[in-house]
Amino acid sequence: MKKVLAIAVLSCFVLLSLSTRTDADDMELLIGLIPEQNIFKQIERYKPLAAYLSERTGIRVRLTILSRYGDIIDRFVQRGLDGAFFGDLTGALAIEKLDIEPLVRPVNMNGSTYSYGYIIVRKDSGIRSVADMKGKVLAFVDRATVTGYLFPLSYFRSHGVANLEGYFSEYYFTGSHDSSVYAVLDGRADIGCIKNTIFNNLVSRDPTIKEEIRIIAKSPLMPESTLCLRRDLPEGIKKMIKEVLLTMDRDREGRRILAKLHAQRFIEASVEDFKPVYEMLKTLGEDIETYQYRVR
Amino acid sequence: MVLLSLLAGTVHAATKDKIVAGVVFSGDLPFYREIHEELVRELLEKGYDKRVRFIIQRPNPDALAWSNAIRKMIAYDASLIIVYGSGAARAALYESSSVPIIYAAVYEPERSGITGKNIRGVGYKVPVSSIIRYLRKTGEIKRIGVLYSDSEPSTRTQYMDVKNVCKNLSIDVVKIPIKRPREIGQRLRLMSYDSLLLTSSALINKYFPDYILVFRKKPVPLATIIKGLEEYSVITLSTDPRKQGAVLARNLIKFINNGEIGSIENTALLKNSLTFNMRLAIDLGLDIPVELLTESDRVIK
Repeated sequence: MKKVLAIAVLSCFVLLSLSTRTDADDMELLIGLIPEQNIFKQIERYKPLAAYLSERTGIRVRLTILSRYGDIIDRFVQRGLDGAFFGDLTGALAIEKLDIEPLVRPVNMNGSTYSYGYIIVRKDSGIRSVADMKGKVLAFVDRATVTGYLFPLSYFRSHGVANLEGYFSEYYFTGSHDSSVYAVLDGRADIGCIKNTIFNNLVSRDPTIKEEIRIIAKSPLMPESTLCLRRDLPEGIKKMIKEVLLTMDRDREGRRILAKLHAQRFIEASVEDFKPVYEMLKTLGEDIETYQYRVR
Repeated sequence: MVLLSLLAGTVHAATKDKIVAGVVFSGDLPFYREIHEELVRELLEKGYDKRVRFIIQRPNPDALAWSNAIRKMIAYDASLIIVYGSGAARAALYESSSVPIIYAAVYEPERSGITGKNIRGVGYKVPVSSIIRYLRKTGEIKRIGVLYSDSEPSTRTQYMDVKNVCKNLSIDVVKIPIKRPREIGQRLRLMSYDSLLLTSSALINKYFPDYILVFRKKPVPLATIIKGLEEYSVITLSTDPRKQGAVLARNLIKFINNGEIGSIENTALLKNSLTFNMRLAIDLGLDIPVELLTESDRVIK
């Protein structure tokens, strides 16, 4: 009995020491990623950033990628995440549902700190308007994105399409923005809903893509992927991470890693950045508290 | 004789009684068989199976055999002729300008010249640019061979599409027209290419497996435009034959109900499915692009 008690006391001590540690050298941060692109590419893109942060802060930064957008909300606590790069809607949902605070967001190569959604079709599809889309196959990204779901939903409603089932022959969720682009290119879907930054990345690698795609509609500006951290993380740690990210464009290694992320630099992020997301939800009569973001 | 005339009269009326539909395949391919199976299934499901009698011809995939098959159908006084693929469709158009013709599985019918007042149907389009894009991700492509048949106009359209896509990509397109089956082996042996694309030609898709050993002497990737040769092809981007069959059934039902070929609208199915033969790609020592793994509807492991 004494032995059991001793183990229990020791365990409590160990747990307490782990939970109160503030020394960066002992610290490990687990950062979640959403599958903006296919998961292999997404990890490949962010891995150098994690290594850079680890080296500059002494905090071991690990990455984990969620298979679906909505999972980042559901599994943030379950997987013990310390932070995540959230998308437009997942960021707003996380601010509402998780105790997190926005830290930084990237400035894209074109100098913009926002992204927007596109509704795309193949140029040779003959589709030029919503009227031409009747009976066609539509590919969304995920219910937990503005650019890949809420914006097109709002666009179709404003063009008189309230019931997707009755208008399109089929609609489905591809899970990532690049998958939606490829689905349209291959003719596996007639219409795709995507984020401009991912489209631009694909075009920069293969310019022929741009020649085959017609952009039918463009959304209002939405916040770019934002790094948010748990509010209860030690202030010193949050400050250190933020400082490294905000200044990384000043050294060559940092700029190299930023280029992999298709970013010029990071800037400070705030809850205010997510205002356009709330406005989009409002136009659809949705409440962020009750919005069903899971793809069934 | 009187009986035959009566039969002919009732057949042409084609509104209430059983009609006779002549069916001509451009070749005996599983792809066309699947379309026909779906047609029959749909008619059964919608209660039209008793309203039509099929006479089916699966001639050798050559212009003379298609014409003979079509002539037989005309001699039999079929109410309409259903054709699968552009070879049989073109033969039907040549042989008759009055018998109604309904086609299925014709790539870009208008661009391929499959048009006329007595012909309607369901076509398809496969973006060859996607096939080239995926092929380039498996390794460096500098000379792509394209096998097509001049007797099947859609396959020439596909060749033109490949040429158009490749002109800005610094890829040479090696034109490989095929007239007879044995030419497949000869051309594969003699021509120089680092990747190969089979158009939807019935002749080529039927006989290509006979020359697979010749083809395999060069470790180059093969891509195909219609289902059926996934075993040999690293990339297959194909329209769904079942969906072709379903639209064909809808068109036929329309014809059964009003006897008017003009009431059928030409449609094109643009939805395709992607198959990646990863096992073959590994055997050939090709790069395995993530996109093919994540985007393919079917991965052969």
